[in-house]
Amino acid sequence: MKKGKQKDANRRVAYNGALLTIASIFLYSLVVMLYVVIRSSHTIFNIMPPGERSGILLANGFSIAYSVAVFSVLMAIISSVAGAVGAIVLKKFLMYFNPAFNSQKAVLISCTVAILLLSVMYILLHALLRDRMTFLYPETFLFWFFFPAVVCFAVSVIGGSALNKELSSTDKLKTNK
Amino acid sequence: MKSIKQFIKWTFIFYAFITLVYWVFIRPVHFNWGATAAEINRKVPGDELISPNRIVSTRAISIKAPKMKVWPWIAQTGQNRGGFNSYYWLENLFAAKMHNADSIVPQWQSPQTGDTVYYGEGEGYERISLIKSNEYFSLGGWTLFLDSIDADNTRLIVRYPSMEVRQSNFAKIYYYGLFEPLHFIMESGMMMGIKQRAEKLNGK
Repeated sequence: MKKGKQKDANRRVAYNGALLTIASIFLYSLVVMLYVVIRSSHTIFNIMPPGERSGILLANGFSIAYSVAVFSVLMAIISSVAGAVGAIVLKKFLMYFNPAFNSQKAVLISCTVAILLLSVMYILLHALLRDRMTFLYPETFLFWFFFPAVVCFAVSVIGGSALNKELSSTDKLKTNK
Repeated sequence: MKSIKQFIKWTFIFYAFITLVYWVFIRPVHFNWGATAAEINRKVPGDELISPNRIVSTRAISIKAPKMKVWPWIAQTGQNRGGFNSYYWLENLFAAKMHNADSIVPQWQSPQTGDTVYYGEGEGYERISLIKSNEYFSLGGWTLFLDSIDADNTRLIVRYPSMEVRQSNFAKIYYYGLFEPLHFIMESGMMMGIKQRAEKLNGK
C-alpha cells in the first residue's frame, strides 16, 4: 500500500516535471517566434514597396510561426521525457540532501540538477551536431545555449522550490499523525 | 499547475490556428509567390534537370534595375562566396557561418559550370549546372532566371525543385512541417536581398 502511494507520488512528480518542461519549451518558442517575425518583417518592410508589403509580411509571419510551432511540438514531445526524469532526480536529491526542507538549500539542489541536465543535453547536442555546434556567432550561442540554460535554471528552481514545499507539508502531515 | 496546464492548452489552440491559416491561405500562395501564370508555366533553363515527380515552386520579384546590375549579386551566390543575400542571422542559428557581401567582389564574378556552391559551412553543396552571364544561374534545377521588362526593370524568377512526390511519412513530416515553410522564408528573403542590393547599386 505504502509502495503504491509512493509510486503514485512519483508518477505525479514526473507528470508535473513533464508539464513544466512542455510549458517552458512553448514559452521559449513563442519568444523565438516573435523575435524572428519582428526582425524579418523589419527587413521586408524596408525593401518592399507599400503596395506589395502586406502579402509577403503575412506569408512570412505565418510561415515562421508554423515552422516554429511544428519544431516546438516535436521538441516538447522529446523534452517532456527529460523533464519527467529530471523531476524524479530532483525529488530524490531533495529528499536525500535536504531532509530539513530548507528552501535555500532546495534552490541550490535545483541548480545542481539543472547543471546536470544541461550537461547531458550539451553532450547529446554536441554528438549530434559536432562542429556545427559552434558558439562563434552570438545568435548560435544565445539560441542554442544561453537562453535554454536560463530557462532550464528557472524551471528547475521554480519546480524544485514547489516540490520542496510539497515534500515539507507532506512531512509535517506525517509528523502530526 | 492549473495555470501551466491552461498555458499549454492555449498555446496548442494558437498553434492549431496558425497551422490552419498556413495550410488554407498561406501555403497555396507562397508556393508561387509573386509569379504570374505565364511565369509559372514558362520554361526556364535548368527545367530539363528536374525530375517529373518533384514538387516545383516558381517565385518572382520585380527589381528596379537592369539585368547587369542584378547579375553580380547572383554571380557571387554561395556560402563560400558572397552569401545568399537572405537572413544570414537566421542561417547562423544553425551554424551555417553565413556572411552576406554588401559589395561586388571581382574575384567572385566569373563562376563557371561545375564550380562548387556551399549552402553553409560543412553543409551540403551543389555544383553549378548551367550558367549564362546576365541571364541564368542553375544549381541542379534550382534556377535564378533574369527576364528584362524594359531597359531599367528586371524580373527575377526563381524555380525550385522541391521534395519528390512519393516519400516516407517521416520525410513528409520533415518536408511539410519544416523544410517547405523555412525554404519559402529563406528563398523570398534571398530574392528581396538581391532586389535591395541591385536597386541600391542602380541608385534607386
